[in-house]
Amino acid sequence: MRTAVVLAIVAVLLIPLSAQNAQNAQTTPDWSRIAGNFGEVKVLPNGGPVSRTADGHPDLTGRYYPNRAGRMLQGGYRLGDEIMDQYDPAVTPQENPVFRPETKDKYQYPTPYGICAPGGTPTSITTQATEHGPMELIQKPGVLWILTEFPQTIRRIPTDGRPHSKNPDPSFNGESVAHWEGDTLVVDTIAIDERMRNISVGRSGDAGAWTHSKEERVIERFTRTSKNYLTYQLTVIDPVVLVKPFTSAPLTWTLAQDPNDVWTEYLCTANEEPFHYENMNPEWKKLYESQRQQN
Amino acid sequence: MKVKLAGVSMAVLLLLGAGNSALAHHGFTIEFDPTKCMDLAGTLTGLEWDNPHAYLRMDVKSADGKVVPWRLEMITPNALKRNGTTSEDFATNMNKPMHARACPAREGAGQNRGAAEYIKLADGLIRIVGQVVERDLTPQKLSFWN
Repeated sequence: MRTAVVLAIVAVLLIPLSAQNAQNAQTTPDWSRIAGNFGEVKVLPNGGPVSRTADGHPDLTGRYYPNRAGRMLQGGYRLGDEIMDQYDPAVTPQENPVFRPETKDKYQYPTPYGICAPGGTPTSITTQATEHGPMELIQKPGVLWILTEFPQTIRRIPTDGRPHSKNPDPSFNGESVAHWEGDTLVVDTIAIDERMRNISVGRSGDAGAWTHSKEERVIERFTRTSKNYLTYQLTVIDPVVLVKPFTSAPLTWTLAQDPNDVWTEYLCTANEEPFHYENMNPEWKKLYESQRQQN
Repeated sequence: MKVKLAGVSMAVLLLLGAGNSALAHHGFTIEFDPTKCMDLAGTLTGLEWDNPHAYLRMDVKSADGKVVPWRLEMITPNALKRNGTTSEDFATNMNKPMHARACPAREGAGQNRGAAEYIKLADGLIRIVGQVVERDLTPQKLSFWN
């Protein structure tokens, strides 16, 4: 009798599981019929320890993708949070930037319609949360190169611990200097052109974009935690725009696994369609014009 | 009323825009209507393999027998290439039958122009080539899955 009761309880508990399995079978497509080998996408193992350079520092060199799969994925088709998310808010919660109320109109607005702006620091990296493109790090003695495919960006950063220059000219990527704190490379950037937006710094995507004052300073921390995994964490300090510095969650990047992975020239120039905008329904156009005027 | 409608539209735009490519030059919903997505069947006639968007061209036969040339926007070549669709795939399947699930451009944003979500070229593979704005439309629910 007792056994029968236990079996009945187990049977009841199993019902939702089997129903769930049936649902999964329905929603998981036969990937062999879909281009892209998505059936092979999985969370990468750590891949073993990090190799070190002659000076004893971890070697950051490698091409990384902003997910846990070590390949470029598509934003338009999400394969699952455990694969695509760069951090788990339940484990490492991230607070949104706290803006000074009076700065809302001047500093917070999305990218105007039809603009292909340079990324600047840190957006060339953070915007990969929605662009999903690669970041390549090339570490040489005393220097780190950071390349992103889109927005096409080259940063050359001295890693010898030197201070900032006295009056650096503003530039889209700003002036970066770096030093090691243990196994973490800390990149410190100032003099970022004020036209550059912080995109996916805090809220993901362009709707949460914001610009900054001359006083902005960006601290980026690169830590290669294993062969396959790199952590990128940034802090934005801007006393004019922010109530307090914003620090992101540690964001996960994984090493590209395909040795034949291509590097694409991606300049946002070739087939932009200005005439579509010119001919657009006047009401929609008016909405965007009103946005543009806020700049 | 008009102002209110505009405000609502902008809120929807911003909401939907949040999931789009951040640095891309336009948001999806400003140019395309995600509520009017449709199936198109026809012939692949061309490819523009360009940044920031690739485009395909297809001829679609309408109910009255007329051939209508469509131009469908896709995502960027760098994402397409790394997700199983190359310019070579289009060349191989050129002038052959194809299917597309696409959302049409809004008024003034180009006639017979749309944004493709999925396509199936003559080789029979389903290809995810755009922003899948119809969130519930998994590949196996496509009319041309089989």
